[in-house]
Amino acid sequence: MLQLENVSAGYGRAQVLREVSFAAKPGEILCLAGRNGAGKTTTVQAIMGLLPLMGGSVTWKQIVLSDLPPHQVPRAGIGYVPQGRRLFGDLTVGQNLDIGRFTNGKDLHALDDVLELFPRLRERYTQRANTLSGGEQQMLAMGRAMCLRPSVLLLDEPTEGLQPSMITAIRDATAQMRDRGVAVVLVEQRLDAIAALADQVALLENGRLRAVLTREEVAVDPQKLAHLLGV
Amino acid sequence: MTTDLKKSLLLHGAVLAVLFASQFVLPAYHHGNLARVMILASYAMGYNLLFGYTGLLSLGHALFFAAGLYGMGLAMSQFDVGAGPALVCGVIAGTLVGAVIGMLALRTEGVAFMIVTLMFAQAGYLTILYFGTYTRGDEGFVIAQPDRVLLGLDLSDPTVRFFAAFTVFCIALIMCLAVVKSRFGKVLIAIRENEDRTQMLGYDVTRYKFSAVVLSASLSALAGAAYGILFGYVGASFASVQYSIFPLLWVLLGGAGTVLGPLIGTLFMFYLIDLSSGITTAYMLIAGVVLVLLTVFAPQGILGELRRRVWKWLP
Repeated sequence: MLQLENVSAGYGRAQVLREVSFAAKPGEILCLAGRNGAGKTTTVQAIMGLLPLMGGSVTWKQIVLSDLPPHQVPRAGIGYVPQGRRLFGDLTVGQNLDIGRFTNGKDLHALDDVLELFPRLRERYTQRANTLSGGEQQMLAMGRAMCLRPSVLLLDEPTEGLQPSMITAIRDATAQMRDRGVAVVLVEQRLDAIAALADQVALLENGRLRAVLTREEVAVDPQKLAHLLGV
Repeated sequence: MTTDLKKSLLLHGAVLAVLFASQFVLPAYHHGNLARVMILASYAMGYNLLFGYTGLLSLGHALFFAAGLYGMGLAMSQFDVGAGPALVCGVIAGTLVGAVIGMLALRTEGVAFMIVTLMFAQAGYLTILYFGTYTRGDEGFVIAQPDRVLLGLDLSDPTVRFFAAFTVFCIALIMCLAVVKSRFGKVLIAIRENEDRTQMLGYDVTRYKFSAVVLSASLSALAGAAYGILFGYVGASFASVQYSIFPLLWVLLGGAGTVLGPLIGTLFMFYLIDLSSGITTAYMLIAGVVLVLLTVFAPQGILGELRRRVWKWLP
């Protein structure tokens, strides 16, 4: 289980997260929801070690991730698909996937699995990443993270700005990762996506955890979530 | 083996074959020039590993070339070692200097990295001048012909020298190709593209950059040691800032981040200066104009442009 306990983090001396605690379980999707500036991206960056913690801890299978240098966190099995994709734009699809794959050098089938999940990437294999459409870029960003065969996958607004067909493909891939037993932390603002995918919803407000709702609670009273999100 | 890899091996094999065969047809003057160009291109290949593939712009690479040159030269002049062991001493000296400079300079990045490497190279240059008792300062020293014998072969003989330069070039080329095609090389390219993203994917970026500096320094030192032993001269001018700028120009001209770019750039620049100096005393002006034109019309260098437009598989 990915466990955050009283995590406080921020940028420089500006504290954004204040004592946030939640747990993401294998085979489940935990949606991190909240308004803009609530601290969703800061939370996933803190999990990845990209921001130093001001307090608290992040653990995964008895490994204290917050004690590791940032480059060791992916090697502990934590995959990250950042907001805005952050691909290597001048490298080809194949080269981008290679960089993701080499971290997990022993697994030779990871690339085949990714290309099976996203056949579009096979078609675009020798094309430069910055010439792909937004949806294809998102597939590549997810594929690159999945090449690692992560046990935990952090997705930061993966469907932002995509056309409906691409949104469906990305959601299907996210659900497949959950079905394979991966603990998925999904930063999401769309109510329909949250309702469709989330097993748990952790609601952030001004850097604090306001509520954790289960799938059943969201299903019984969708208006409650909408009210909490302020939409 | 993929088609791209086959094409790439075929091209590089063909270039090596042409270089080897050229010794039988070239007149003596160009024969000697080509031997020199191959050694300098090996130096540029070392530079390219750091600049073209890792994205670290060093302005102090002359220090590594000179470390190889003086490591070899001083081993021969001060300790009377043979040509073979002296060559090894040169490479070891360059590797050690690379490791020390790497540890210190990689604490900085960007412009600061350029300045720090430049300062270290200047310190190295001044050290050579300061210890003139051993290094003969600005004048340098000559390696006598009887000492330039390796495995019974007289390295001062033009044919042997050409073959030795060709061997060094082959080593550099194969090493660069192997690095670029390896997992290590692909991570270096990712670091060049974006350090933070590479780290985010689980790579210890500092360790990779350090390895690149050491590898680049070793190759530069090999070229330096080979230059000294093949052409019989060890001089402080090779440690000057000019010899840090040259490989940058050669690599930019030929195409940064291409394996053959340094050879093309070195050959082009060498003959540009050679030919234009035969026409006018203002030959640097001609060289400058040509460089500006190339920068404007082929900003990625000769092979870089060729890769962008035609040979996308070029490593």
